[in-house]
Amino acid sequence: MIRIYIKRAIEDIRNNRMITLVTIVTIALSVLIVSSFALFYANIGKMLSTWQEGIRIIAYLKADATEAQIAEFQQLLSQIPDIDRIQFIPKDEALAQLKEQMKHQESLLTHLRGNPLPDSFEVSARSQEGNWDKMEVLASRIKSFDLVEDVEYGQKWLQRIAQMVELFRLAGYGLGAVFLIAGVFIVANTIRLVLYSRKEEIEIMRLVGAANNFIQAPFYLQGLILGGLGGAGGVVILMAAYLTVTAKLRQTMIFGFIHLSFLSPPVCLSIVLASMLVGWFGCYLSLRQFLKN
Amino acid sequence: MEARIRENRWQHSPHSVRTFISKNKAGQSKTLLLKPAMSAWKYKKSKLKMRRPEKYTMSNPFGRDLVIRMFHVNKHYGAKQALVDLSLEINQNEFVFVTGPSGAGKSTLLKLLYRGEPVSGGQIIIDGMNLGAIPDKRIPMLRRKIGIIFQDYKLIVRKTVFDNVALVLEAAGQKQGLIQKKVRSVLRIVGMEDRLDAMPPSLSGGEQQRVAVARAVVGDPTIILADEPTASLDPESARIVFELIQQFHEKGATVLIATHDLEMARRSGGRLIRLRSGRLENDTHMSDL
Repeated sequence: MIRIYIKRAIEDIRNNRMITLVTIVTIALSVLIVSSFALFYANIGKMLSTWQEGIRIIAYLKADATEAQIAEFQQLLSQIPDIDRIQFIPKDEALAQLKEQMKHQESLLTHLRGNPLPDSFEVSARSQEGNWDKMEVLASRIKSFDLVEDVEYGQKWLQRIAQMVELFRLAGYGLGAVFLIAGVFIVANTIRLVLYSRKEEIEIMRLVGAANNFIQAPFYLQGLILGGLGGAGGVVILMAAYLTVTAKLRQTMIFGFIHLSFLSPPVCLSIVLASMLVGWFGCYLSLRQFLKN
Repeated sequence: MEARIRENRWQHSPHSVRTFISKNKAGQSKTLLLKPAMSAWKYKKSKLKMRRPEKYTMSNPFGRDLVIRMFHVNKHYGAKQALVDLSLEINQNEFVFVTGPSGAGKSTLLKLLYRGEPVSGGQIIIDGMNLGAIPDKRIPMLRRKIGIIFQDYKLIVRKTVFDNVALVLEAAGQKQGLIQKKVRSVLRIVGMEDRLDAMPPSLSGGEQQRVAVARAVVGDPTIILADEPTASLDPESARIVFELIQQFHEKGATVLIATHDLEMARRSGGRLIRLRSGRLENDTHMSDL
């Protein structure tokens, strides 16, 4: 029986090549747009996590801090549970580091009278993935010590990127929903056209004792095939685009700082399955309406 | 079988589903549908959820081989009365011609019999099935008991001759091996075995109608309904098609033909039902005329 259904579904696809192609391409484009967002979100999310893990809080100490105060402060810092590692950077070492970093602009530092930099502590927090508030609380706590003049960490710009990513994620969901609905209606429309072109044939089938299941099954198969091909097409196009972009990036400096990866095979499979579901549902809508009439 | 179960009677219907008509001590009878190769004893003992007497199956208190019963059937389309208070009984293996002028209700009568349309009033019972009570999803079961031949053949133009005929068995869920065998056999009988792969538009009217006859009989229906089967054919093709229908009637099918062609009816004998303005005008046997 399954063989008969598959044969009829393929026959229909063959007889309605143009409309089938348009449907597959439209689904593929919808999938492409939605999965592009997914790919962007997956990569940027991973990048943010990496960056976030590397965030350090620099606590600049007051200029008049004595060695005993510094040692006591270090003792206090080590008691804070959220802190993973503490490193004291004396002002002389800080200046040496600055000179090293600015060795091409050395002239800027030659006229310095004395060392303007303060002693500081570089504090690494325990992994705070996605938890900006905790980072902020820790920074405030460190700043509340009398010995601390100021604290600095890359919170603001990272937070801004995170907000942007969040915005992208929401836009992705919105677009995903829109394209999902569009996909359902496109498939529904395609199946409806096929149904109308085969109206007489379906009527004859009913007259010879064909049950609704027998009539519907090939159309459901067709919906699944259209959805599956569209989904797979979208993923393949996305992969081609991804490979092209990464090949271009590989030639630039940027590539060393970012590590891109494509959607994992289970995610790709889920996208194709979701497209098949869209195809099936579009088919269901058409058949329900058609057979009711 | 009758010797073994005195008060009970077996009827064979298409697709090997046997109808078991059972009479209890009070003389009331009920119809059971049994799966093939299952005895009455097994049926009673089986704890499986078997097809019990369904609410739309009717008792057959007459003990005769009644295949079709119509009780005061009415059919109207809006204000227009197509059939008025029509009551009929048709026995198994009867050959019935339904005649009458255009608009007399011949085609409507046939449509009601295969549940192409619901009745407006009255009841129709076919092979124990009350057509007014069967749910829509059971209509395919009814239609598998009936082979229908139309004036315009109603073949699927995109399918080959073989596929058109095979469709009936495919829809009934038959196995491919059996389909191949039966379709070829029936097409041989109607003389179309050498046109298996032809598409209907490439056939003559007579050939198309022969394919339609093959499609109507391939499922071994209890009843064959033919709506003006020879009206669009030349006399020779009409004769061939009619002889084919007769041939399948001789194999046990009950045949109802709606036709204007009284000459065909006269030649074949059988029962003649004459309708006029949706009413039964005359119900007689050719031999009585």
